[in-house]
Amino acid sequence: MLIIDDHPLVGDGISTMIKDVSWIRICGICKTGKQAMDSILELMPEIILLDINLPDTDGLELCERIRKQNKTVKIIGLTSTNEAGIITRLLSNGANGYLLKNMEREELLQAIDEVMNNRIFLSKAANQKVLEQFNNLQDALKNVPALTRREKEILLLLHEGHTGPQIAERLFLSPYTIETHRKNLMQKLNVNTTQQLIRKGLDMKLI
Amino acid sequence: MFMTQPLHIRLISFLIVCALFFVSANAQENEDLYLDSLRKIAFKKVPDSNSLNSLDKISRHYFYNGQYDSALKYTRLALPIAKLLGNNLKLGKSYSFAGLHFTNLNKYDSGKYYFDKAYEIATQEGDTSLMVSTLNGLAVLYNYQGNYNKSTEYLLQQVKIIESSSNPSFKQFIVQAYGNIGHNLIDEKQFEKGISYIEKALLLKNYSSEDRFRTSMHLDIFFAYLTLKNYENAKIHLDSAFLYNQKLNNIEISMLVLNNAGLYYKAIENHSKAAAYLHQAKEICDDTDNDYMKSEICSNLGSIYLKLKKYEMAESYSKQANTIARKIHKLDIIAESYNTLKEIAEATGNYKTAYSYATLYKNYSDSVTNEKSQKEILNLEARFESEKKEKEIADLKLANADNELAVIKRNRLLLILGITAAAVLSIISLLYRNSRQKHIISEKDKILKDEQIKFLERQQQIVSLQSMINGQETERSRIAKDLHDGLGGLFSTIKMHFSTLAHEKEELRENPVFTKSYELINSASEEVRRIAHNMMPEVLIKLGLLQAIKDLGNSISAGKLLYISVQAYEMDKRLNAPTEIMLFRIIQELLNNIIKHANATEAIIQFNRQDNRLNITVEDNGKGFSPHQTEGSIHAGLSSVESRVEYLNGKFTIDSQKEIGTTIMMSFLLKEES
Repeated sequence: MLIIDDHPLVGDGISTMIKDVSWIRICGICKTGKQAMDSILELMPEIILLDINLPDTDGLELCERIRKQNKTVKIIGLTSTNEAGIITRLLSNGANGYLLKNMEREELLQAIDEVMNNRIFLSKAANQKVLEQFNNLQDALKNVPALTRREKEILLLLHEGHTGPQIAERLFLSPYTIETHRKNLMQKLNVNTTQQLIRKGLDMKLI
Repeated sequence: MFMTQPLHIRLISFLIVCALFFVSANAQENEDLYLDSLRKIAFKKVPDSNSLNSLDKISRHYFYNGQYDSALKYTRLALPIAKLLGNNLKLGKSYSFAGLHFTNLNKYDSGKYYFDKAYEIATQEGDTSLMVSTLNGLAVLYNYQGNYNKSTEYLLQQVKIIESSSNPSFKQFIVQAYGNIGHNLIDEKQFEKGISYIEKALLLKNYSSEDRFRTSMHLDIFFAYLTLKNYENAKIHLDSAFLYNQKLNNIEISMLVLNNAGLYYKAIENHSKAAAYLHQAKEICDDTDNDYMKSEICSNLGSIYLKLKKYEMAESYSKQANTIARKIHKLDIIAESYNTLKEIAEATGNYKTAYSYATLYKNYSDSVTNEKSQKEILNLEARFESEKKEKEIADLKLANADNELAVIKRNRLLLILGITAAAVLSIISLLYRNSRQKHIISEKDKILKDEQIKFLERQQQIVSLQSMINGQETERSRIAKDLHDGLGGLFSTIKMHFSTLAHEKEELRENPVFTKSYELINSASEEVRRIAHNMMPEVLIKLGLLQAIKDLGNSISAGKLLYISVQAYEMDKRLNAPTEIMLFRIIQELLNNIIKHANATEAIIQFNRQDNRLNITVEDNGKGFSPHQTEGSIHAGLSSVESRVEYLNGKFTIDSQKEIGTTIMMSFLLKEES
């Protein structure tokens, strides 16, 4: 197992945790991305514990690079942050798992065991974050864009045949604001003219 | 020259401060009722100062609505009353105001007469505000006559008076002076200088008539950019003019804004849009007696319909423009309308008619050129005359005999000049003009430099504020990183050791001190992570604004009280880092506001990017508020957001409805990424 982490104590800590586990052996500890790429070629580890905050490279990028070069090595991301965006990106960059740095010994062992058995391992806290993210993804997958309240109103008024300045007067807004809303709407529904906008709005049952 | 250049007639009005009025105006809901009640006071049997005030209020009302003949009527009624009451200052103000009305009605001789009378009284009474107003009126008068140098001279005189006065309420006079100097410079086709003057004026805030001034000034800059064919900047200022015009209720300015919008869309060849705006302008104009605007708008409509190949419409509007322009002897419009009619005839294959229109066009454009050169000659003559007088006065002071001699000499010189014909005269005038111009330019430059210094100081302030904020963010970012990597790493390691210890010595798990310490270290490391995250979310730095906002939204939604959805269009490319951080803080603050005050259950954050324009909409379904409401914390939150938006040169609009919700919109023009 290769540890990539610039913080010397973390390496120590991990070594201590697994010193009496017979089936894991630490083959090296690297402090920079460059060292890591060299060591992977030279030591051919089965597992990599990768800190995503490194002094010279971005850990997310490094993960992708390692995965391009080596399809079989198991990569477990290691970090002190617990942010959904980072976790999903790490996984899509080819990591097999994700651990928070303040893990316990049991969790580390479980993670290693899971990834060695070709399963994905997510730290318990990370799990929930990723689920939230997926919920959001599902929202985004829907083809019908959600309109804001003002956009709905303006689309409806456009449909009734009012012009921009008329709508502005009616809603007590400036023509500039109405124009911005209309431009946003056209971008959201992917159309170029107000006529197309109204038709598409009707098609999508937004009006 | 005239043949090739499309006609853009400058019809943007000068800025005019109405310090001439006695009482400041309040918006009146029911105008007719208001005017009637004023009339009752004004026409009392025994007139007193109240009737004077009422007459002025009525006059002011008509003035703001651009109905100058009615305004003049009431101002003139005030004159004898002021005389009767022996109120010299009010008499002066009325004179000055009458001069302004005459000027607006294009009766320049009468205008000059009244302004001169007003100035006389102003110097007698030592009233600076009347002096400044009158000088400004004179500047307007000369600008209308195309004598820009003289106009600028009056403005500079005005600046001197303002600067030597310590009255803080003169702020609007400064705006007026700079705005009008810029206006003159633009008329003189010194666009960049003109723009810089007006931009200086735009920096000033919080004075009366601000909306009216801003509309006019944005129109000026718009016109300059339009002529320079810088359409992007022109559009920005046109939009601003629209924005400020909205707050006004001034028929004339509305017409100008709409007419200029027509010119803009004509210039970018969006002819149907241009026609729509011009029609709006015409609609308003039809209710007034403003033949100047009417002929201009009709002429523009004629040429737009020609572009749209709707020849019948084009012909009808051009003829209309022609008729009105003939009535008021507006030669350039007459020429332009003949030109359009000629092109219509050409396009419809009516070559004979086209030929006769072409001849008419040529005649009139010649007389336009003649008129222009005549104006110039008149200006030169006037300058020459005034120079002569100055010299005479100086010589008078020396000695009478010398003076007589000098006069004879000068007469002889003039005689010789006459004999040696116009060529010599024009050379001298030209030389004189050059030196005069140099003088004026050097004076202008001096003032410009002073202003540049002030402008730079202001810029410096913004830059230092920006760098302060940037510095803050860098510092936060650094502390967050230190917390993560340093303290966070340490805690993690301690926990690892504890974990190993617990594994090796089973009995420790029963030890309450050990388990307590273990728990505490756990919460300490959680705490470090939380603080660091609040300081600078890692996802913002690593993955960008959109992902950071999504994460923020998700974590708020997870609380089940407020559901936040994030929508983004064309946001794949990242923005530059300081902008992203700033925008993140802005949105964070807006969300905080929603959570704290709005009582909302849903909110949408929407990003729309088109090239380098970014619109961000934040909308909630909360209880809403009135933007004028000064309820402490909402206000503080929003104004901090607003100033941040300002640093990014963005536009910020609040649109809030009670019990329905609030939509906040921000538009930014992004700089190209480095």
